[in-house]
Amino acid sequence: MNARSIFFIILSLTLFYPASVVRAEMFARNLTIGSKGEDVKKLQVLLNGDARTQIASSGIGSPGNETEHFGSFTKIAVMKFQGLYRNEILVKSGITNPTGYVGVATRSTLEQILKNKTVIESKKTPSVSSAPKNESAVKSKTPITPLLPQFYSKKVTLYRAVTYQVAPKGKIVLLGSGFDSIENSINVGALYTISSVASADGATLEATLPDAVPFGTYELWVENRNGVSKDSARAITMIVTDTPAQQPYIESISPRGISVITGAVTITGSGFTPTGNNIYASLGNILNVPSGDGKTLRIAMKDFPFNSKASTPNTKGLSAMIWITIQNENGIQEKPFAVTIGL
Amino acid sequence: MKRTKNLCLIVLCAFYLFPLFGQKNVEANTALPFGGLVTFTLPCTCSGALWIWFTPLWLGNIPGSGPLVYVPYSSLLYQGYMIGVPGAWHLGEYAPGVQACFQVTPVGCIPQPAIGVITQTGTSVPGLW
Repeated sequence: MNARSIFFIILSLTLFYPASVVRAEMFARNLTIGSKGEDVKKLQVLLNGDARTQIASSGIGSPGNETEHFGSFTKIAVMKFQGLYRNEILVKSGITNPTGYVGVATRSTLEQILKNKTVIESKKTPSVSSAPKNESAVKSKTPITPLLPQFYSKKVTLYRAVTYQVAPKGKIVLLGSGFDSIENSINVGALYTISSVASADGATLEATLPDAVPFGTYELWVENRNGVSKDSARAITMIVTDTPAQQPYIESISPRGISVITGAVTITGSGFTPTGNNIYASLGNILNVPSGDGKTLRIAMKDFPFNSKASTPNTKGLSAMIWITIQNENGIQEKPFAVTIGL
Repeated sequence: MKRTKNLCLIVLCAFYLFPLFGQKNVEANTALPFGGLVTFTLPCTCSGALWIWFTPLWLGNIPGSGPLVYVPYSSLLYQGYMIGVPGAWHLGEYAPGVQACFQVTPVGCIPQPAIGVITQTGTSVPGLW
C-alpha cells in the first residue's frame, strides 16, 4: 500500500464519517399507546423537560415520576410536541393534525432535541470527555434561557383580531398568548363558538367564520384548558359585515430623516378614516387625527407627549428607533411601523 | 514519506474535529448587559408590564436611546427598586427581541415594541444615590 492509497483511505473516512458512524439512537422504534420500555420513559422525561409538553404536573407521569408505559397522557403530550414542531414533524410527514404517534419524523426531532440538550450539558461540564450523555444528564438540566418561567405563562390572553372586519365564511386571525396547540374554542359573541382550533405557536389562531353569524359587532374570547380570555375591562371585538373595510396601513413617513425637532410630519398609507385615527407610538399617543383623503395623516413631532424626553443634550447626533401603530374604526394596523429618528 | 505523514496528520485532525463544527449554537439566546437613565414610561395596559424609555441607554460602548420592558414578577429587581422612575439609573441584563408590552385600544390590544425585555436590573434612588 503506497502513501497515496493511505491518504485516500483516510480522506474517505473523513468525508463519510458523519454518515458512517452509527450513533446509538435513543428512540430506535416507533411508539404509540400501549408501547412499553425504557425508551418510553426516556420519551416522557424529554417531554416533561418542556412545560408546554409536560405529561402531568403531579402524580404518575409528572417530572420525576415517568414510567415505561405509553398511555393516553403521553399521547396528548406527544400531540402537543408535534404541534410545537409542526414544520419538522407534521409538514415533513405531509399531515395537518398531530397524531400522538411517535413515528420517524417525531423520533428524528426528539433525537435532535436530545442532541442539543447533550451539547448544552457537555458545555456546562468542565471535562467534555466525562460529560454524562445519558438520561440522567438530560433530566437534570433546564433549558438555557435568560427568562424566568413566568414569561411562558399558560394563561390564555386574547390581544386582538387581526382581521377586525370580516365577511361571513371569511378567515379570522387572532393574536394572543397561552393558546393550546390542539384544542381552543373561539367564541364570537355569546351564541357562536368555533371549536377545536389548533395553534402552531401558541400565539396565533386561524379559523373560518361560520356562515350563520349575522352582521354586527361581536366580542371575542378564547377558551382552552388554560382558562378563558374574556376580560370585561378590555373587550376584544370584531365586526361581521359583507363589505369589510381595509385596516389602516402605513406606507411611509416623510420627510426622510425626521428628528425630535422636526416640525410637520406626514404619514402616508391607506385605510385611514375621516376622523378618529388614533396614533399609538413609542413617544406617546396622538388621538383622533383627521384624514381628508384617507391616505395621509399630518402631525408634528411636538404633538407626541414624550417627544421632548426622548433626547438629552448628551444624545445629540445619535438616533433611536420608534414604532408607530394606527387604530381606527377599520381596525388596527397589522404590524407597527418602525422609523428611525434623530435625537 | 514525511510529506505523507504530515498529510495524514492533518486529515486525522480534521477527522476528529469535524463533528464539533456541526453542533448548533444553542446558547445564542442569552441575556445582554444594559445600563441607562429612565426618562419616561408607558404602561402596558393589556399585558401588565412597564415599557421604559432610557436616555441615554448603553447596550454596548456607544450611548443611544430606546425602550426596554419590565415585567413584574418575571424581571428580577434588585436594590434601589426604583423601576421605571424617571431620573433613576438602571443597570442590568435584557433579553433582546422579546416583546412583552401590549396596550389597550378601543378595539383590541396593540404591541408596543421594545428592544427587549429586562431579565434583571438594579436601580439607583434619585436624590439619594
